[in-house]
Amino acid sequence: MDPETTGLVEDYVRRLRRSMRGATPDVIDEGAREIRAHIDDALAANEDAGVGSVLAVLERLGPPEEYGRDLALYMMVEAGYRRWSLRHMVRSTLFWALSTVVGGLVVSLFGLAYALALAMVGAAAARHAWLLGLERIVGATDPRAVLPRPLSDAAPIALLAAGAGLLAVLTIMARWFVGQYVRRARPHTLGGVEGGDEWVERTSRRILVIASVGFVVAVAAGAVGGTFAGGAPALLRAAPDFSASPLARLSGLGLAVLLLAPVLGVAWTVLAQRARGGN
Amino acid sequence: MRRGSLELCLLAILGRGKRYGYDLVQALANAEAVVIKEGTIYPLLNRLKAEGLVAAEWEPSPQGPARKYYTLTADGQRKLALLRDEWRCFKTGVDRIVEDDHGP
Repeated sequence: MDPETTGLVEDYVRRLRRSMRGATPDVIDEGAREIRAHIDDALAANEDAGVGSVLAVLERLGPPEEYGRDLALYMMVEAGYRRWSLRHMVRSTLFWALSTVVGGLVVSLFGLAYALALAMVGAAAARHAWLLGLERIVGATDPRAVLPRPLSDAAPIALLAAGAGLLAVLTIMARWFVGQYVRRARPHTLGGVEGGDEWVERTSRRILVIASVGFVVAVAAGAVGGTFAGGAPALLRAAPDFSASPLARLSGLGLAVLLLAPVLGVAWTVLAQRARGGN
Repeated sequence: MRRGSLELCLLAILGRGKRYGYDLVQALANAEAVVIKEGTIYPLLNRLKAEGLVAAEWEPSPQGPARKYYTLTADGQRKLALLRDEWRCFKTGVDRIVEDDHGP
């Protein structure tokens, strides 16, 4: 190839790498390597590496921006969720969260639930440290005094077990969720060819509906029951008074529904599909 | 085009033996009904890989750089059989409607 045609190919591969930005370097390198091999094979088949031929090959491939993101996502999902690479698992989840509204919502909700579980583990550790006299680490005040009520009432060992259990359950749920979602998802670039991403769209709608219902119930019941004042975040202010009144409990239930929306949405679609006799 | 038909085509081609990306595109191009931008085949291949339906491995090429060859896994063969049955059922149903000149 002459410098002009080499430049065309290099520019195409550069655009592809840019569209895969956010993926791990090994994934970007492998994706670029495969597309470059495709271009080489196509040019070898033509036996003509002139500008016209190169442009035709790149035209048939299509703009890299149309498929680069999907390619990166699926490559990372494969490495993360099939080969259990934590690095790819985290990156593919974040990549997905930054690419779609539902991905962002799902990851935020799982993030909140993880934060809650970590807070439980942290609270248990702080209480244990205080009981062992490690005041230099946790301060002179009993952590119970600053913890919200459900956490301060619980025995440290129970809190630790519950927090660790919640972390494990969340990890299993997150893995199941992403596995289900990605298994059904069609690359958006193929939507026109394959007739749309029905499964994904239907599930996304259900997740949004469930999350909205959970949010409205949490805020409305919390506001009416006086669990939290004004626009204060429900998660922080509802917790101390969870057991104060039925409305506070309802608010807590709404919060739980909001946090579980991704899993409930997928479960809804899977069960509906089974009821209809689908696979 | 019917949902999943491109997936069926890819699995069916791979069912006949290992293929690399450009080779798969050429095989698809022979079926004129399947018109896609060639680049979009790669996300789909990687989704099939993420599902465990295909496996991939880089192998040296007799001419030029190495190629990534795709093969069907045992799960892929089962999925292919399932999709084939679904396709035949769908095709028979459509044929019955389209080719029935005496119908209501």
